[in-house]
Amino acid sequence: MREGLWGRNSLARYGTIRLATAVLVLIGSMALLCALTLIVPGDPATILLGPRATPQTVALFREQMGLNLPLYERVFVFFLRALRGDLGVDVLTSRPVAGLVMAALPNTLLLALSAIGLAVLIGVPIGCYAAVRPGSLLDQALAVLSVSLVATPSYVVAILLLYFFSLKLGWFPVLGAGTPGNFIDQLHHLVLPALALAVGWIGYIARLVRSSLLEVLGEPFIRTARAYGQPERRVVMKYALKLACIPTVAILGVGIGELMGGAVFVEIIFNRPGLGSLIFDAIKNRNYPIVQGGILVVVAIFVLANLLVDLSYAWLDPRVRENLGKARTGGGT
Amino acid sequence: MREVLYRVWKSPSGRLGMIAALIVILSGIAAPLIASHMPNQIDVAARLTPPSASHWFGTDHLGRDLYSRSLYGTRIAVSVALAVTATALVLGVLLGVTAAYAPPAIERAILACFDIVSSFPSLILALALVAVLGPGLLNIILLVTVVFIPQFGRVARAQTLTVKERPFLEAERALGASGPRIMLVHVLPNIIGPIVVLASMNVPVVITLEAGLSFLGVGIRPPLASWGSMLFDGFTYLNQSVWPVLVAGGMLTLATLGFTLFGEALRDAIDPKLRR
Amino acid sequence: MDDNSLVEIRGLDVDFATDNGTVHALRDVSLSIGRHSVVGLVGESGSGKSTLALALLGLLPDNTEGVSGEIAFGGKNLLALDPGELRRLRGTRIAMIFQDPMTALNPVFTLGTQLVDAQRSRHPELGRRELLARAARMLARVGISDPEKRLSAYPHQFSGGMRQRVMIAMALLCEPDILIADEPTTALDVTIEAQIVRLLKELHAEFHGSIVFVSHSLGLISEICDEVAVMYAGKIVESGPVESLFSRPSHPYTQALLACEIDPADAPGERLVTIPGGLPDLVNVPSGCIFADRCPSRFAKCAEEPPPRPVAPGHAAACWLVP
Repeated sequence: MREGLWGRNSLARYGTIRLATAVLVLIGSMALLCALTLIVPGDPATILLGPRATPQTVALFREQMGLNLPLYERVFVFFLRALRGDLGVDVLTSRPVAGLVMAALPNTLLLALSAIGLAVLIGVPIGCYAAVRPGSLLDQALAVLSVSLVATPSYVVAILLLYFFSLKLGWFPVLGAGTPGNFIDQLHHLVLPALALAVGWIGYIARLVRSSLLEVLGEPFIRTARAYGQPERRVVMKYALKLACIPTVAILGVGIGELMGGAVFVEIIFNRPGLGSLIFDAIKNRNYPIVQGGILVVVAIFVLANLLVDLSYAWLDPRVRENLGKARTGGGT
Repeated sequence: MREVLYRVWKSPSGRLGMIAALIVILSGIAAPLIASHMPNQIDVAARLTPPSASHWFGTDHLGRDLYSRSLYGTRIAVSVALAVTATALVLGVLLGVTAAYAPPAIERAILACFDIVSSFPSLILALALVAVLGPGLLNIILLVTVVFIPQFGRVARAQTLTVKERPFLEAERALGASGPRIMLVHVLPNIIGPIVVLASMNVPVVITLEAGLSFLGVGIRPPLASWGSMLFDGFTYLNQSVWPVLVAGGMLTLATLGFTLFGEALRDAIDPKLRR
Repeated sequence: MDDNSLVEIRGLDVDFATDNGTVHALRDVSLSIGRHSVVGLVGESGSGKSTLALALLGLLPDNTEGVSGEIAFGGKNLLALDPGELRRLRGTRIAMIFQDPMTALNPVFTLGTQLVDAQRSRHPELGRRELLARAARMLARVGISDPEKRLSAYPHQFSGGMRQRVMIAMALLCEPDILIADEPTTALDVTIEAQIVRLLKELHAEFHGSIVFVSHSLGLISEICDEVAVMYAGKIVESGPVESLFSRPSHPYTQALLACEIDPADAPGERLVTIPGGLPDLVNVPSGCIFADRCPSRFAKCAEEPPPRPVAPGHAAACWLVP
């Protein structure tokens, strides 16, 4: 059993290999994005430019997107340019896409992270309590509410929240992200959007924590801990919870992706700036370079988030570190 | 099969889900019979009215009857969900089983494709595809199918692999059983359970995705009525009337809730070991 | 109460609630555990020996319906203590080694963390570093090489035999008065089994407590125990010093058990001995001697339940055949 930084069971080794896999997947997604232009019905440049297609703009577009090059060369060029931070220029005003995307990104990240934070901060304690007091009022309420909240689409929840708490009650502002520089105002504008995204997840996480915790508490090693006189609080909070959180961490990876999708809706409904509304407006305005660049950044974040989740997973559960061959199932664990 | 459905019926949440799902499906099928108006019948004088005797769910911003529109919206939602799930299932299972039996290079290529498609959040991939393909019913069915193929593919492959390794298959081969026979008699029955569960769990997701795309205006185009586009219309006029939003949102929630509860009960009935 | 006894169990009854009704797992069990002795509990599956072990620890399962009787330890009745007091005894004065080492350790914490936490009740005054040092010393004592490195390893990196040694180390670190070993070798290979038993014998010679050794193997019992109690269907049918019981087995069940042991001296081709019949129904417990149904020597008086009858000093069997 080799020990040390690079031993079979080390986190560093696992992390490096996963990082390499992630980069490969990212390159693959770049290839997919480039290949998309191939399925356009008709001439890509003309179709994608739409009403703005004049011979000059078409030629310029072809040049910039490298549509004259064979596919693999195009991916290569795209990859190299992306490494340099060059994601092309937008069709309307020739501004660099990278700049636009990077300006919009922090807003979306803030939204997504707040939503996750809310979901975890509220969901985990509720799940713990329900596991330790099964059958209680809270537990039963959780069972009923969690399913209905998870099933309702995030945009429906967002609109309903907007209607009741902004339009009707006036507790929260309706539009925008708040005045820049005013932290409290921005927080005020953040509450409903983050809540809209988080609501489904709170119930889901609570139920997941509850069932994982119940399962873990029945395991033999919990009996061992109790047999050695460990106080019940330590048994549950330390010995059981760490193991029980693993499925929750696993779904957070997939969750971030869905959250970024949901962010598109929330940004549009609440009229917030961000990557979601940027990409969407670009689609409406036939500004393909922004669509491509924006989606690439979203995918990169998703891949990075999954990588972090995998690392936490391996950190939490050492048994995983040796099983490097298993591919991550992105579509629901 | 009958036993499974019976078990679903026995659980309270499963029963609720089945009833809700059946209401949705049947109302969609029977839409022309039970609708009170034509879904696209414009009556500007009666725009944005709350529920009344003549308009059971109220009217939208063009005076169209919300009850009738929601029924026709059911048709869209259900048919898209069915078409997408069926196609993704068939293609996914084909790819997955192929991957399990194919030489390592091909298997890795197929898995790599799955990984790449999965590296896009589902809505984002759908948006990317719609940016190049354009909106419309057929396109939406196509591109949403692509989003769901990898899940079916992975489950099919995993299940095939577990069956492949089992010793009794070696015995069968030693006795001269042919490849196709093994696949049909042993592999397929093993796959069906988890695949059916996955399909039923995916139906509400498909409904949500299609409605979401229509909400954004890049999904189903008028004159077809999707709940998503109804929701967007209602949202635009939210400060004048809440009813369009409530109706569209309510139908969406009913459908997704019903199919989700049904799917979970189905999963519990098919494999109690998966029960959470 | 005998001054030389550490634990006195008197009239212990334990009932479990099950789907088929109430199972009377232990009925009127009385046993004495002496200081610095090794007491064996032997019987087949379902005899109640593990239940008795868990009752000593106060960790009976959730579906326990009723417990009555007395377990006298250190001047108190364990059955009358509240959960907090009972918890303070575990890991300080009573420790247990469980049957399956593969599942008894938490997979996501290092051995060091688990060994340190196990000692916290016993030595709340010591810090993590000292507790780790004690753990390393004990690991060496139970025959694990390179103990400092092992402390930062995880359970899944060890074999079953090594994990059981770790469990023994964990138990001994608490310096308990009673160490309960619930079939510690059942899940291990025979060669490893011999090593573990030898280890236990050596350790017992060194430390001051008593061991309760639960097993279904008479061979192991004879190797390690001073006293033994034979259990059948929730009752102790015979008990006494090992030499006396093995040389004069007085209860038909004990005799049958001994006959069942595979003797290497037998010629190949000889039939293996079995005991005809099956375990009685513990929901509707039949009256009279519990072994009567399967006993080759039963007679009329067996319809009345026999009390333990003396065979030799300290050796008693619950059978009317004993004069």
